[in-house]
Amino acid sequence: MTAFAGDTIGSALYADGRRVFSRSFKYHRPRGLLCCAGRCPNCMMTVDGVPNVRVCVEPAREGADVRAQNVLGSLDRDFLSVVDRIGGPFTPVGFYYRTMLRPRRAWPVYERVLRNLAGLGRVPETGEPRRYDTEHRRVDVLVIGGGRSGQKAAAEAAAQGGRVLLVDERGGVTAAGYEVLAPARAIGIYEGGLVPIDAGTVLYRVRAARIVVATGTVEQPLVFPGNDLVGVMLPNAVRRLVREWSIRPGERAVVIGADEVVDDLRRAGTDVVRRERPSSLRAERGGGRLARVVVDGEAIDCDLLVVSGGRAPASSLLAQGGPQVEAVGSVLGEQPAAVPLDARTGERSFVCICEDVTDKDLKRAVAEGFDSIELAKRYTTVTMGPCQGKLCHLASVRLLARETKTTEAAIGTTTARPPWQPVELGLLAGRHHEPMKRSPLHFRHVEAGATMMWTGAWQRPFAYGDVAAEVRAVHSDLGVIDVSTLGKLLVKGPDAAELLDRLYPNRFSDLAVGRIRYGVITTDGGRIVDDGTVGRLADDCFYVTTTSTGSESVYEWFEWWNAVWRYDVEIVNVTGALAAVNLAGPRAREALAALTGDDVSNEALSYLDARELRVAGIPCLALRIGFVGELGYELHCAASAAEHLWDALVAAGAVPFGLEPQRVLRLEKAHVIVGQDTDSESNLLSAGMPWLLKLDKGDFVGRYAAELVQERGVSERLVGFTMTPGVLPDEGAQVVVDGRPGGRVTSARVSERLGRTIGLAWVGPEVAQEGAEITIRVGAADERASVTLSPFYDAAGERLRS
Amino acid sequence: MTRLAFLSPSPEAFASPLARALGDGVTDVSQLRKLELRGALDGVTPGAGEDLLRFAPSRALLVGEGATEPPSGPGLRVYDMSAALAAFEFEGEDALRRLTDLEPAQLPAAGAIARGTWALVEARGDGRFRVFVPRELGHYVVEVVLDTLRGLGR
Repeated sequence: MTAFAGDTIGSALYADGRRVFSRSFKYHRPRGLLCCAGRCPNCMMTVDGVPNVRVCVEPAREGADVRAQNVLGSLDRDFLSVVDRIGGPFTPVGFYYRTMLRPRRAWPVYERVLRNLAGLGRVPETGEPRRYDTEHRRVDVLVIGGGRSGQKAAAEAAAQGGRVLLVDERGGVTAAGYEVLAPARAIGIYEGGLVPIDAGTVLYRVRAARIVVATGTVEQPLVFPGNDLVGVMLPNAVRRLVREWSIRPGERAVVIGADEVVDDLRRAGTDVVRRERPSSLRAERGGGRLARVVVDGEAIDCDLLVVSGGRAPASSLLAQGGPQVEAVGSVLGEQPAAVPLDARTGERSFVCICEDVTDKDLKRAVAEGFDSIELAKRYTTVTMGPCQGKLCHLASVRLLARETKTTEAAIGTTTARPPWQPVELGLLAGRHHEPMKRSPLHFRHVEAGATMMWTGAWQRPFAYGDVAAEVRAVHSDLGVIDVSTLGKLLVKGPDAAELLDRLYPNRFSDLAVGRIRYGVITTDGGRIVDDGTVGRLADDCFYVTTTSTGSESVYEWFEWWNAVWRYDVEIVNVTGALAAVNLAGPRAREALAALTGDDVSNEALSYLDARELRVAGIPCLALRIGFVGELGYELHCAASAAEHLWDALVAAGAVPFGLEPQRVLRLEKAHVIVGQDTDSESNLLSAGMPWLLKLDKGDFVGRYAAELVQERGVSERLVGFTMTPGVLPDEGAQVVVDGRPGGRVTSARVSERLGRTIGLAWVGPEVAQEGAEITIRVGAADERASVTLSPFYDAAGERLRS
Repeated sequence: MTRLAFLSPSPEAFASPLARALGDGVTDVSQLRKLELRGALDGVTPGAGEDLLRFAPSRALLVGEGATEPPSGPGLRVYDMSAALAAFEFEGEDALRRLTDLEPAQLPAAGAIARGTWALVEARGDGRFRVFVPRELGHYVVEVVLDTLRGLGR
């Protein structure tokens, strides 16, 4: 097909003789050019794999691949048009809400059939996805609409100085002291003067101090029998065909209420029959398209009917923007006068050509009680199609007013919401970038062949290979794990100890400098939300660690209470500044001693001590703690030195181990992971941590709730359990008591060292006793387990203290 | 200044968080010293070769090669955030507009970049910008910047 410079795909196709451009959404009726302004759905085709492109405004380009959509066969012979011929009585409005409910399991089949019978274009599943970008702009004045009023408003604003941006959905606007973005379409107005603008493959997020809407008006089609036939056009479409592309729209035209196009038509060589606004009108087809019109009983043969229901203000953006948005030009105009609707004839009268909603559908909706415009909209889907109500909102309001015997003002309008213009989901989504937090040792893990996994926004090593071997290395020799993801806060100031005493249920004001204490943070309701260690670095300075996913929320929690209580404390989140590794295993001290000149003997650096050391030349804060149950040191250093430290530790014989081995090791010690073994209902007493509750000190967050729990007792308890090897319940498996759910498993692993399956579970307090027998559902079977209240491994903690 | 040695990076063991993310159009300046100043900022004067980037009424970042003594004074607290922040430079206001809604004419300013990542952005003149982001997200942000530059045909 040949196209000329300036042609759109639609104009080129029309000049080439094509009249049917699409098939309608539901009935598969043939549809031709109607508005030629990119508003109606009639010319939507798939162009270069992109569905639902309005070809009437899509510039023609060399080699463009243009295909019909929602068609079985061809545009001229669509086999699915059988729905139009015989399906009408069986497919009234809302039929899918009522006729496909049973059997329920068949709905997926119904849905697939409906999806194939009706709809618009198909999202491409293959091929290179289009690139969409987002750009941010700030301007003093944004003018939406590039007509005369819009250009005048833009020029006036520009004359007063400041940045002015004019957006127009068609090109051809010449900038005059202001910037023009075209072709581009504003798709909504949001709070703060935010206006997203669709410019094809770039979504502009424009923030404007002042917004001027100059969107003008939208030509309205009339509702009459046969109003959707191929050959029925709005005056503007005819004007564009003749004036912009020198195309003769038809051989013989009937023009009603659109005298402004008569000269254009005659100039193009079309035979014109003019008629005044009739009291009755219908269009009849022959050969699948318009063949004649009957005006007040007079039949006139023609292949083109140019008819207009007047122009309605395109006021949706104004309604979205509210009173702070200004308007200029014809968008401020009145609604056009109502037009009569013809009586029922053989052809359907479409109120909404996007969704194939007829006047009969709306009448039926009213009869069924959906008599408000919002309900009718949801029931019939009128105004919910690609035109977003531009061509059907007014007609539907009028029809509803007539059917309910009230006024249009009483009917009101539907709520105007973005998008005002259809927009590609890809454009809204933008580029696919997923924020990923990388520890300072991330690439050491990747280079070592670790299997990486997501934990929150972090990527962490699951394991480096053999999980069991990594566990064995920690138990019997030396392992090292990257724990840089832990949250790390400095709490500094004269009131730091008092702040921590009020934030935690236990006490920190009596913590000696250089010592560490475990802490759990609870809400006002006593619920556990995070845990970690608190080390005292100086009288007025504490180093707090949190869970990996809790650093931000704990930081905010601390800041909040610090502000509420007005303490002289500064809280600094140093999570990203510091790397941390846990060197663990019986040989940990030996390896550390070889890398530092500092005394790391058990006397100089004992369990729960915090000291600054130089390890492999790197200044570190060493915390003598052990989540994995063996002699261990957490070494915290500047993140930029982490690789150097890690390399030195590995060279000293430390075997890197990942999260999965760590989970086995910590479970052997029955160490809790907050968020996995606890939930939003867990408190210190139910989680088996009563030793953290210091009720002999002053007030603290969660105290009242803790006292209540202590007084009333707990309804469940977190306990350990063991099972025979070879049986491994899922995390989340049910604990069964007398055939009924009586708890749940939170963690379970097979411990090679212990030769048993071990785990943690919530159970009723009546079975939270050492040695009690419980039953856990594993697959379809109930398996026996034995309750234990102490750690499974090194219960006395001798290895940690060694 | 808070004298916590483990918080300050050792120059001899420095590894940039952006070392494996770099590409044409992005320059890594993560090695710069970055001191966060809090409190009484009015008396602070940056030394030669240093930039004082105020991003809140009582918070600022003092950026430089680290050759000068950290500032001190009553009501002023100083934290070494050198290792906490990755830093890089790139060129193009158009690229900046695709990365953040911060207004180029109102820099330096702190805001969101590349889908919500906190950033402090400074204009360096001649259409060049310096960006400071949390170290753990530095690699990701540079990937986004490089992709953006590719989208602009660079």
